[in-house]
Amino acid sequence: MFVVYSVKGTVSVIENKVETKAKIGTILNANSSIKVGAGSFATLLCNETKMFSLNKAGNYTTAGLADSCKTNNSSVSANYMKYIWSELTKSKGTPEKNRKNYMANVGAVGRGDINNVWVDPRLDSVNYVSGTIPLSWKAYTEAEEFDFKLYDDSKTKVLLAKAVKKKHVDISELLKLIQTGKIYYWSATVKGEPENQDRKYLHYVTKDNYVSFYNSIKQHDAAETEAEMNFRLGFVLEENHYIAEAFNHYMKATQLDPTNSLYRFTFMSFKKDFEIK
Amino acid sequence: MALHHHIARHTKRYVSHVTKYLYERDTFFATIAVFVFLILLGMIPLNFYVLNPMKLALKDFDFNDIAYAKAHKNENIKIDRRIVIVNTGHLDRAELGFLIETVNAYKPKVIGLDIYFDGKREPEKDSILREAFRKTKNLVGVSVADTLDHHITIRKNNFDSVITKRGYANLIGEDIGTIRYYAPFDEVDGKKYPQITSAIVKEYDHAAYERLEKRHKEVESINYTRAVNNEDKKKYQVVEPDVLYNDGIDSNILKDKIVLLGYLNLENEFDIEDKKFTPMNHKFYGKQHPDMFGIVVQANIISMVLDGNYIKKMPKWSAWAVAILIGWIHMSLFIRYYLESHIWFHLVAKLAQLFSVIFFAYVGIFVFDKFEVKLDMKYTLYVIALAVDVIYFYEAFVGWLHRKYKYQTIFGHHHNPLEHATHHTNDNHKHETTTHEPTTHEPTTHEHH
Repeated sequence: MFVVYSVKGTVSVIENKVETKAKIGTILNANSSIKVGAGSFATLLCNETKMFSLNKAGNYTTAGLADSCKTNNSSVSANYMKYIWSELTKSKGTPEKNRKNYMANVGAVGRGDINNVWVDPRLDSVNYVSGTIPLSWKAYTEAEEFDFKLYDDSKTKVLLAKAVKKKHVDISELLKLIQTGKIYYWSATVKGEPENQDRKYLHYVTKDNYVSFYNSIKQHDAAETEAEMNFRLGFVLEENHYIAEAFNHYMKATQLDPTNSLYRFTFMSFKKDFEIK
Repeated sequence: MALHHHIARHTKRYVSHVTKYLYERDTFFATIAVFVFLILLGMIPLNFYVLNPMKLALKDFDFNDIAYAKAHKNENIKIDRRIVIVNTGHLDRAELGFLIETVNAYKPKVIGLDIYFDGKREPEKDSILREAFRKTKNLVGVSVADTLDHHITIRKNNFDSVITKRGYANLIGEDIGTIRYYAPFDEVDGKKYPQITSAIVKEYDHAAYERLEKRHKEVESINYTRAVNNEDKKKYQVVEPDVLYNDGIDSNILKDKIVLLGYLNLENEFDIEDKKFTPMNHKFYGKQHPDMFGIVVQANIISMVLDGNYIKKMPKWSAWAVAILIGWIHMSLFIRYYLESHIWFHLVAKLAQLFSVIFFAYVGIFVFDKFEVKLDMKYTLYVIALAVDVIYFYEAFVGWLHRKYKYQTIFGHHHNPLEHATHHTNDNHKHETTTHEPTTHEPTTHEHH
C-alpha cells in the first residue's frame, strides 16, 4: 500500500480511469497510478515504512513502484559489527601528511546552486590527445550514484548523459562521441540533486597541434639525462593540462631512475590526484 | 589425535588462562582494590577533566547512542499516524490564529501548540490569536517553567485566561547537551503540573495517561523511535500551512488525531532554532550539529507514552554486580599473564580491554534494541580499564605487607631470573614502583607453576 506523504506542483492519482488531485494522505491501491507533472514531485510512503520521491514527470503504476518498497533488513547486530570493522580498518592519517583527504570542504560561503560534487581544480581543464585518463570528482555526501553529462562547446547540448556508480568516467568511454580539434564540457551531479552548473573543459587536441607543442618543450639547452628529461616534460605537460601524456612521462622517468625518490613520489602523487589506478 | 580432542584440549588450556587465579585471595583483593580506587576517584569533589578534551568530549556520551547512530535501530519502524506535525514556520500571531482555526476545522482530537508567546504585540493580531484560543477547546498550550531555588514557577502570560489546558515544554538536558530525559509531571505551588506531552496524552488517551501517572517517575528516559529529517526519513506526517489552506490534505489525516503545531525547517539542515541534540544524532561523539526539532522530540515522547514503550533501566546494584563479576574475571586473566608471561602482559591486557569494550558495548546495544532495557555498562568498562594499573599498585602494596607482616601473596615470586632481566630492560619505570626485589625468590607463598 502506498500513501501520498507530500506533493508539490501538479500531481494526480488515476483510479478506475478517474483522475483526481493527489492530496496528502491519499491511498494508492493496486489498480491506481500516479501522474507527476513537469517540475513537480510526490513523496510516497510504502507500507508505512519506506519513503521515496518521484521527481521526474510521468505516469507511475503502483505495481511498477514495488521495488521502491524494499527496506534495509540488516539487523542492529550486523550493523554494529560492520561499524566496528570499518572503524578498526579505517586508514589513519593526519592533515599534515595527506592534506587532500582533509580538504573536502568549500571553505567559503556559497552563493548560487549548491551541489555536492567537487572537482579537483587541476581537472578544470583537460587537453586530451590519446590514451586514457579518468575525469574524476569527489562527493561531499555519501552518494551512491552520480549523473555524468558531456556537453558540446555551447555547454548546453547534452551529448551523453549516464548514471555512474563510480566517481569517475574514463575518457576512453567518450571517444565515440568526441572529435579531434573540438572543445567539450562535462559535469557530474549527485543523483537526484539539481543539475550541477559547473562545467569542466575538455579539449580533444589534434595530433599535429600536440606534436608542435611537444617539440617546443622538448628542446632544452642544458644537459640532462633521459630520466631528467622525461620528468621535466611530465611536469610541463601537467602544467599545460596534458594529463595522459604527463602520466606517461612521469612513469618513464620513474622507470629509468627507480632510485630517485622525487620521481617516485611525484608519480604516486600524480596517480592519486587524478585517480589513476 | 582426534580433532575434537585437540579442540577440547586447547579450549581447556585457554579457559585455564582465565580460571587459574580466579579463586586466589589476591585476585579478590585486587578486584576490590579496583572498586576502592573507583569509589575514591568518584568522591573527589573537583572536576579533574576540566582541561581533558577526551573526557569533555565523552561527557555527554552513552554507548547506547551507537544503536541509533551506527546500528540503525528503529530504521524500519512505521510512521506514527496518530500524530501529525504542522509546521508553523515564522507565522505572526494573527496568521497562527488562522492556522489554529483551520487545523481545528479538520476535527483533530487534540491540538498541541509548542510555541510560547512572550509579552504583548500588535493588539489586532493578539486579539485574533486570543479568539482562536478561546474557540479551540481541545488546544493544549505551552507554559514556561522557571526553576528558582529548587522551586518551579510558571511564568505569567497574557493568554493565560484563554488557554485552559497547558503543560510546560521544558526537557531535561545540559546546555548544548543531549536530551535524554523529561519530567512528566512536576510540582508547582504544591500541585501536580503536567509537561505538555502529558497534558496532550491526557486529552487523547486517558488510559495511557493513567499508566504514566502510576509509574510515579520524577524523570523518564525518552525512548526515541522516530526522526523527521530532510533525508527522506520522516516518521511523522509533516504538513505545511499552505497545504491546509489549499485543501491539499485528505481530511482523515487529521481527524481524531493529535496535531502538534511547532517550528520545523526541513529545507535548511543548518537551521538550529529549537533544534536539540538527541541520541538519534548520526554523530554520537565530538562536535556535531543538533539533529531534532523540539516539536519532534515532544512527538517522540507522546509516541512512547501512548505505546507504553518506556525505557527500562537496569537497577544500579545489578550494574555494580556485573562490574564486579566481569572485573574479577579480567583480574584473574591479567594476574595470570602478569605472573606467568609478563612479556605478553601488556599486549594481552590491551587486547582484552579492546575486545571487552567492543563486546560489552554490543551486549548493551543488543539488549537495548531487543528489550528496550538500558544496561549500565560504564562501571564494567571503567573496571576493565583500571584493572591493569591497579595490579601494579596492588603488587607494591602486598609487597610491603609481606615485608612488614609476612603476608602471603602470589606476587612474591612471579619472575624467574631470566624473565626478571627481560623485565628490567623493557619495563624499568614499572619496576621502580614495585617491590619485587626483596621478595623475588623467597619461598613464602604457594606454588603456581
